[in-house]
Amino acid sequence: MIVVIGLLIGIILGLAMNFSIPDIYSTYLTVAILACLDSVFGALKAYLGHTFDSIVFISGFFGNALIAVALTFLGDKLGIPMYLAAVIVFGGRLFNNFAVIRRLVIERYFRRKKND
Amino acid sequence: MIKLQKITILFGSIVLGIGISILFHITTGEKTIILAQSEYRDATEYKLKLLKEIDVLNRQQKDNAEKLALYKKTTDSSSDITSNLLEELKQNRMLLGAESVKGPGITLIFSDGEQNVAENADSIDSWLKTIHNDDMLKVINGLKLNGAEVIAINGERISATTEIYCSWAFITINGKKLPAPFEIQAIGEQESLLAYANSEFGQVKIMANRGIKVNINKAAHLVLQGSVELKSPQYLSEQLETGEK
Repeated sequence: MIVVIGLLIGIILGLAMNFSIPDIYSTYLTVAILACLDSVFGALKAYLGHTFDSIVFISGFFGNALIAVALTFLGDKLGIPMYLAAVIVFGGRLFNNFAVIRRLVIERYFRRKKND
Repeated sequence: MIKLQKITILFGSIVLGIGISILFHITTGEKTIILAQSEYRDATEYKLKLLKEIDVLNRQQKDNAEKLALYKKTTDSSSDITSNLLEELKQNRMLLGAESVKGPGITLIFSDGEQNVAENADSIDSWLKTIHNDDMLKVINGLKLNGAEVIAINGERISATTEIYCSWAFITINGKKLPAPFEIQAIGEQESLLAYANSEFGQVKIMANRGIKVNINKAAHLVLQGSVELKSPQYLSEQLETGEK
C-alpha cells in the first residue's frame, strides 16, 4: 500500500514539475528506474519479513541505480548493450521479490483469519 | 522504528514515481525538447541549411516572377511569332519538296538517241546514246551549283533523301520508276542556269555530243508539284551542346 501511495505521489510530483531530459538519456533513466523498482520491492519484502534496514535500502536504492547507469554507459562506450545485464538481473529479482511478497502477504492474511 | 522504515520506503517510492513520470515525458513527447550538445550542433547546422535553401528558393521565385512578367508582356506579340513560325515551316516544306512551288527557271528534256538499224544493242555507241542515272546525277549537281533552288525530274522533286538509281530502262527517283524522256525542271537564276546548260564542257553538252537528244527551254512560270513524303526521323536526334556524344 505504502509503495503504491509513494508511486502515485511521485508520479504526480514529476508531472507537476514538468521536468524533462534529452531523448538519448532515456535508456539510462529506464535502467535506473528498474534498479529502483527492484530496491523498493526488496524493501517491501524485507519489511514484511521483518528484516528491513533503512541504510541497506537507501544504499541499495541509489547504489543499484548508479551501477546500472554506469553499466549502460560503459556498454554504450564499448558498443555492446550492457544495459541488458541490468534488465535481466533486476527483472529476475523483481519476480523473485514479488513471489516472496505474495507468499508473505498470503501467509499473513490466513494467519490473521485464523486468529479471528 | 517501523515508522522510519515506512517513511524510507515511501521516499524511495516517490523518487521512483518521479523517475517514471519523467519517462512518460520522454515517451509521450513534450513540446520543449532538450538537446544534447552534439544534437544541438546538428540542429543548428540543419537550421542554417534550411535558411540557405529558403534564400535560394526566394531568389528563384523572384526570377520566375520576372520571367512571368516578361512572358505576359510578350503574349500580345505571340500571334506574330506563330505566324512567323508557320511561314518558316511552309518555306522549309517547299524547299524539301513537300509543297508545290512556282517560279522562273529552265526545263531540260533528254531523250535517248535513236539507234541505227545495223547497230548492236550492246555496243558502245548504243551505250553512249542511252541516258544513265549518273548522267542525271551530274546534271542535277551542275544545276544546283549554278543557282537552282528546286529541281524536279519528270515531276519528282529532288530532296536530300532522293535517290537516283538505274533500273534497267528506267531511272528510280523517290522510289518511283520513271521512263525516258526525262524532263528536268529547275527553278532558280535563269541566266546562270541557261549558261550552265549551254556551256561547252558542261554535262548537258557532253550528253548532246554523245547523241542524246537535248532540248533546253527557258520558262517564266514553272510550277513544280510537291512529291516528297516527309519522314519522321527514327535514328537521329539533336546533338546537345553539353558535350554529349
